Amino acid sequence: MTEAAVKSIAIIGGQATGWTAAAALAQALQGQRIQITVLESASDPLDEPAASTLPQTIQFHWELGIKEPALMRAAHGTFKLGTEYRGWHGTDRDYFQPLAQHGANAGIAFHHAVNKLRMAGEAVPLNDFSLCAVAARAGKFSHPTDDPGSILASLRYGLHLDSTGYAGHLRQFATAFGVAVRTGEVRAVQVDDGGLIGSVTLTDGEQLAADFFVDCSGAEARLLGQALDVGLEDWSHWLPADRAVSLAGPPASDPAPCTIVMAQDAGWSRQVPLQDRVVHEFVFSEHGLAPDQATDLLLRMLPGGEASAVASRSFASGRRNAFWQGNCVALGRAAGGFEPLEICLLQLVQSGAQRLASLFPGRGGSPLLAREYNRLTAQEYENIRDFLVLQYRARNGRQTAFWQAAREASPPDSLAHKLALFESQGQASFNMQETFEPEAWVSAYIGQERWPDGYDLFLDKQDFEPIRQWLMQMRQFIRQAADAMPAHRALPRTVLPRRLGATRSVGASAGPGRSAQAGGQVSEPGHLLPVIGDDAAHLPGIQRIPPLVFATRTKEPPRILVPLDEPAGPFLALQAAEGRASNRPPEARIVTRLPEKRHQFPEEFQRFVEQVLVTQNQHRRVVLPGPAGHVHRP
Amino acid sequence: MFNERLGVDEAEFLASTNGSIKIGIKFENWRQLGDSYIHTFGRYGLPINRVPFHHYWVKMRQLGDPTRFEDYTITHVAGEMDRFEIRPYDENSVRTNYLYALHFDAGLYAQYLRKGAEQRGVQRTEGNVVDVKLNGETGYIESVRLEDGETIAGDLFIDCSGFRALLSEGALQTGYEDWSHWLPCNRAWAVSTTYRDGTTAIPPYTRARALQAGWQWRIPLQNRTGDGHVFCNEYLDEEQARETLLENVEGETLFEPRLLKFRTGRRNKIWNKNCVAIGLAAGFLEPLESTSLFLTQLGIMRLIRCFPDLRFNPAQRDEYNFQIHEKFEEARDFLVLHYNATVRDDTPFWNYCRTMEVPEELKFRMDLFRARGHVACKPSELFIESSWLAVMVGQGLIPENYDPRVDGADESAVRELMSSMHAEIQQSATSMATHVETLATYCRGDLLVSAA
Repeated sequence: MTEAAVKSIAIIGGQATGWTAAAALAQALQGQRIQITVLESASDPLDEPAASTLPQTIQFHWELGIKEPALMRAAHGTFKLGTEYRGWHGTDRDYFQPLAQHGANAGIAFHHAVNKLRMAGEAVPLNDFSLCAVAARAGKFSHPTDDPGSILASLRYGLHLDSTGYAGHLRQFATAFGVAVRTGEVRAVQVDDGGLIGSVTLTDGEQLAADFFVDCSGAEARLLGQALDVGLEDWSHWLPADRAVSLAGPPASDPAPCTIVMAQDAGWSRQVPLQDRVVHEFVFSEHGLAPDQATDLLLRMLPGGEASAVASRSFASGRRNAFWQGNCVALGRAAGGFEPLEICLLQLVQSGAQRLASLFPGRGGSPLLAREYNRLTAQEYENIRDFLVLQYRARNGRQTAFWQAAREASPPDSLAHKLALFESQGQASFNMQETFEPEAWVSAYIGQERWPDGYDLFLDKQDFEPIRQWLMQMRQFIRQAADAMPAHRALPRTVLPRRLGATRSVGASAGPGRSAQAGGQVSEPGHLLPVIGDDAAHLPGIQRIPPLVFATRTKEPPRILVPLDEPAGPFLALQAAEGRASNRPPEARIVTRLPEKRHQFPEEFQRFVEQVLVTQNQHRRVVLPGPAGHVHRP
Repeated sequence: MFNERLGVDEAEFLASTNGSIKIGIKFENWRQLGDSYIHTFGRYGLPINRVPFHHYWVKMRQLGDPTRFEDYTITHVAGEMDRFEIRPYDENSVRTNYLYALHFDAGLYAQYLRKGAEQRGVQRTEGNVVDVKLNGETGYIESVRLEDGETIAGDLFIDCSGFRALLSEGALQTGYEDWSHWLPCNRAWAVSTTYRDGTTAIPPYTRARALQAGWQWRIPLQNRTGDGHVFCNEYLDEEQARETLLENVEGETLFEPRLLKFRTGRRNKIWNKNCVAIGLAAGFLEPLESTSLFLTQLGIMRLIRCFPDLRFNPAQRDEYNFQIHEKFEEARDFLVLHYNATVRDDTPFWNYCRTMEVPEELKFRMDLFRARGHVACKPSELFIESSWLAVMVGQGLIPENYDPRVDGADESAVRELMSSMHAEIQQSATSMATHVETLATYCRGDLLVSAA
């Protein structure tokens, strides 16, 4: 059955949620004359003031074409290699949840070998085999490299981001794609007899009509929850926290490349390091603690006690019974959500927005597409839920009501199965669809010292001594690699100027663009551009991201070097030609490097790319063959 | 992959089992009489703007472009010319974005594996099981007794006794989920035939020809073909089916056709207590998409991953069963698709298949694909997206709509890109060696066909 094509989308609510949705949809649906409008208001809930993301976020930005350096500037970002849990398991024991897997699998999952070593009396911390963990604890950071032979290729990282700065950056990105902004709040929602939303009435009496609505209105869920009456499945018996207070403390001189989470009697607290501040949060249950008390506790933990931006928010762990109903999809808190442990709301918004983009209704199939979207999203939420519930089962000995209740609640069946499976021989449930991969589960089990009392018996079929030596070598190698990595604290200062062309290619001459960096704010004249050449290795790299490189001399017109011999080269070439590349000055010349052997594209296509480059036709659409967008897993 | 894990050298393996290359399966008369397509293990086109290629094909087709979907996969184009070449897989080029499977002599394969296993210390005993002793408390199998009185005890039992499932069903009475209302075929005649004199080509694919109440296979090896007729005895009697097979084979038959009887379905718990059923004892699906050996190998590999110790943690069993049962169901749905997505109404058998109620999840997939071209495929699924595409499109399930992101790309640029893919595939396929030439140089066994 052919339906009328969607020609307009209204996104209700701004902030990081609304603008992430707008950016993802605008980018995916470009060129189709679909009008996307974001309704934003000063009173849109901020929800999480800082996001601590998973590696999937890097892929998200890559797919949208959002450049990391500019994003990090706008969102005062720092890098994240994992989460450090303090006092979480036992009051004096810490553990680290790295974002990459441990060691390397050689037929048998890696942790079995470490467990066999442990059972033989030679206990070595599993995290000694994680470059993420070792580097993070030494305050080091490096982007992963593309070289599969390098141990640095095994790194995976996420980002710490200021939600407001992030929203602003994506707002800029989205509006450049033609997304319109309306200011106002929803007063009423018009739903027709078929359960479709026709329009919303704003407080000023104006109407905002659209074919499709995205509810980013936060916990209130004005559209999906209130107007369409889709209920919330409550998970608070498993995840008891329902309130968070946050404040901003002074920036760390040595910001950790990880999120720090600390167990407290009445809940837990965390620190998310940003370039301009550290966001401190206390997450708890209102039943056990008043927000004022939580704020006091948080202030007491602050070195120097100087704080600003004190805020409080409440939330409920759970999910909507349907995420997409009729012509409305909810993203962010409106869809449900969790406390900011291991997962952040932004991560769910990114994955939801991408899923929506790939299942966006054209002229047919809406109810079926909704069913598929709901199936996938429900799975995502439930898997994350289980992972968080697992964190709460840590045996940290705290006798407070908060922890006891969480420990004593019987886990969801799916989690009970996973725990039981791991218990005897350390097998991790194998499911390729989870946000948290089997290796992440293993890290969490072992972090909580749930060492199984058995291991994969096939290990016994091999001589163990060479394996033992291999382990010891790897351990040492990881330590050396971490030592050689640059300090994370140097990065917010060095990475950005480097990308601005101030350090290598341009030489040390103090161009006009360098002046502001000391103040933490980097002004960016048009002719100062990201750097060229061997620095390419430092570009964000889970995916193979080739250098879209800008050479720059103050007096010369800048060049954009496009390596057509890289998989995404033509993509970047066309972006540059279209003027969508960030920081592209109007007078830039585009220089190409042509393919030699690998990654050959059809000749016609190459010609097409070159032709676009020559004419620099601003309105030609991007067409490229390319990888299906799977994440390269080192 | 299974062979790789065993450290088997492919060329040597093919040579010693008279094997050949399989780029896929050619389905004749499935959608309707006179129609055919190959389900290949190649990808179709390259994604454009990260949107799967087939959406662009659907759009161009709607705009009147007559190019067949299968013209965008090199294995199909080359396969139609009986050409095949081994090329390292690279999904970013239409010349190399394909995988392949193998045809080989199963009897020789079994011997090959037996030799390897015995070399590694597996002890072989010959005999028939006459009794199975269960533990009075746990119901676990303790031992089996053979005809000659010998008793074999074990901690873990693997039931490879075929349809009879001597341990899993015979002793443990695990139960069987019957799927014959979805896959009604329940008999097969199997035979081997020679190549006719003067044959100069070996197709790099299995042929599956739909007949009045089932279908006939033809598997080309280096020295002979394996042939068989799968049918449903409610629609066709055994003798007629046998005659049909013999009429249809091309060369001389090497032995009298053998009759196999089966009932499609799956054991309720493939791993029950301390007994894991592998192969036909676990369940049966007709060999239409060659899922049998795959499921057998998967059953073994997953068992290795979930290998128990003497505590027999029930969670391991649940995990194993969940995964293997799911694969059986995925395979079942994929097979049902072939029978249900058809316009054939020429026999009562096909009328039944066309109008039967299919499993709910399959129905959803078919509806979603028809409505919008989206393949609801899980990342770890047995048949990947391109397989579903090959069969759905091949069976005439053409999407009515496509991903709206397609309209964001300039139409003439897309057209240009697609025709360049098409041209590159044609040119590259034509330059491929023939399948016979590849066999002769790569893995010559008793190759009885010489190239033209």
